[in-house]
Amino acid sequence: MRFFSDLLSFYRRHRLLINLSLCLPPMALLSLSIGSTHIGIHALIQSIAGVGDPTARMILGLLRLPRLCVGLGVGAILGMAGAVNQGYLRNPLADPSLLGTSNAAALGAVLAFYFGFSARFVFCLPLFAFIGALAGLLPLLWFVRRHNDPQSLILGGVAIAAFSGACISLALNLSPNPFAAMEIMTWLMGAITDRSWNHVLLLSVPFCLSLFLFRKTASALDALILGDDVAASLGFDLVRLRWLIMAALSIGVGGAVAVSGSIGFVGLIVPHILRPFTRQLPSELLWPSAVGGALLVTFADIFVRLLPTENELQLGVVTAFIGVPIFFRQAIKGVEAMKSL
Amino acid sequence: MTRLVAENIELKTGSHPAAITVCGDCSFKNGFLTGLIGANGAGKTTFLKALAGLKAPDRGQIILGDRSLSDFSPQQKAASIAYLPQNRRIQWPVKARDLISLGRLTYGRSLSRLDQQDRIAINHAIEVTEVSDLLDRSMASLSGGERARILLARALAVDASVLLADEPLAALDPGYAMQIMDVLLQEAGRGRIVIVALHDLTLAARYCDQLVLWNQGRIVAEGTPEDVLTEEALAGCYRIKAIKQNYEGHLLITPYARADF
Repeated sequence: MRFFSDLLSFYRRHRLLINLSLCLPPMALLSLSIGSTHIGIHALIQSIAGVGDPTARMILGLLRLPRLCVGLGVGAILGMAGAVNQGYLRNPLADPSLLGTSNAAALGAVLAFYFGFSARFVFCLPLFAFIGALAGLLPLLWFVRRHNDPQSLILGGVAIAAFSGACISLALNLSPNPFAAMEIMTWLMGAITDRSWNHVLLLSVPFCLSLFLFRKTASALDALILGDDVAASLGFDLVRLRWLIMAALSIGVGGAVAVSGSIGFVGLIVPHILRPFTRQLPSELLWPSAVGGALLVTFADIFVRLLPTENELQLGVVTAFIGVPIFFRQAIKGVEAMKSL
Repeated sequence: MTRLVAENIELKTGSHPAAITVCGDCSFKNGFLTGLIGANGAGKTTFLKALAGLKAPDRGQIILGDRSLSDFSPQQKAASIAYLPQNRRIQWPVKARDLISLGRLTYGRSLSRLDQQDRIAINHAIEVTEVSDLLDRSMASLSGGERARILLARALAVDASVLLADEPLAALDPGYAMQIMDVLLQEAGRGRIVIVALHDLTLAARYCDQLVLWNQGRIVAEGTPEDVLTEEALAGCYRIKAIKQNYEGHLLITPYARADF
């Protein structure tokens, strides 16, 4: 009897996370099943068991499973990064791109396209994106050493994002031919098509590391509800916290952009959508945002495959289309609640 | 006996260097409620932040017990000194119960893993501040006075030996203000060092065991309310003329005009 009451209280405490996690297996099965070649649930189970139609096994093993893993990983990183960023900056409009990380990573990738490195070696593109994210962090670190507060961090981040955006536009402007410009544009819209296990491997390290670092910020983010002074008086080292968040952001978002391009809105809308289902504590939003992000990206990826368009839509476009209406509704409700504070 | 001593400390505030100097020992004993009074910008908040360990003094040192505050780890400092800032801004519309529980983050536990000791401290804070009927309400739905009591409860939930409150009565009606002062007095009676920055001179005289009067970054008077709240001091620090009278053994200060120099 005690076991069941403990189980019930555990469920009550983590209701949101458990419910979202329960949605993951059906969503994953749907993602594996849908595509230009439909694989029925029976064939899917057979293929996972290592028997059945060899073509279906090949499609799953080489295409859909890595694509699903990349989608889940990227979504989880972006969702959690958004929740941490909003909690730390105490700004519901914050998302991972606010500190310029996404744009800086995108600039790195664009440079790889522009100078033709991406064609020479398959890992050049993600590597350049990753280096871009880290390079974007350096001026930000210099900036916040002089101005130690979240507002300065946002201003510095906006400057880096704007500079990276301008450099990307310059690259498009000076692009040697329209095909190269098209290639860059397509990549910038974000996608997880044709991703291999190498991409999964490449994402796995930033995924584990960033989620681990983000998780360590949970209690400090709760303390920041009352402002910097109270958080410091409760024993939290705010300088260490800032370093932790910036490192986790550049590793996580850099890794995500490296394998999938810029998938916007996930980090902004997922915490927004989920916040009303929590006690409004930033710490309670971290893991649900990770799972919610994974679900949103996977759902958008399924949607991309279902739409009868001539060219497959880019993932970033679809996440925005799905997320914005929900975001709009939740944001209005959220703003009402925040106004009275 | 626990003592909190500011030993010849000097701090510079903001970008315009306005040094705040404490000459000699400024000492606070446990079991006493001390009021910091003085005009706006006199240095009370900066001094409280230094006592809380949030601003390191440029010179001198703060001693708690028999150790310098700079020797405390952040966690030791947090468990010893609770700080209630003047700013009552809260970022997310959390429930009052969760907000009070934030005080227990000091001990390295997350809000979902509070233990028996945490619950005792939280329940005590709820009981003394009389906020049990507000616990399930969002902070966004509370009035200024209710919010002030919840924030005080959060500071009390830390269960520290020192409580520093920066203008906890700002914008409160007399009923709420006296309720807050009652709680602070009661906590001092429980053996804590309680230091509160105030602008209401009558309440300062009514509740505080000792007052420290600040003017332009310096302590100009220290002692019992009767000794500190002299007409000269009020004229010098606040530029006011005030009526001092006794009513049923309580000192009443009523400003009635600006002092001319």
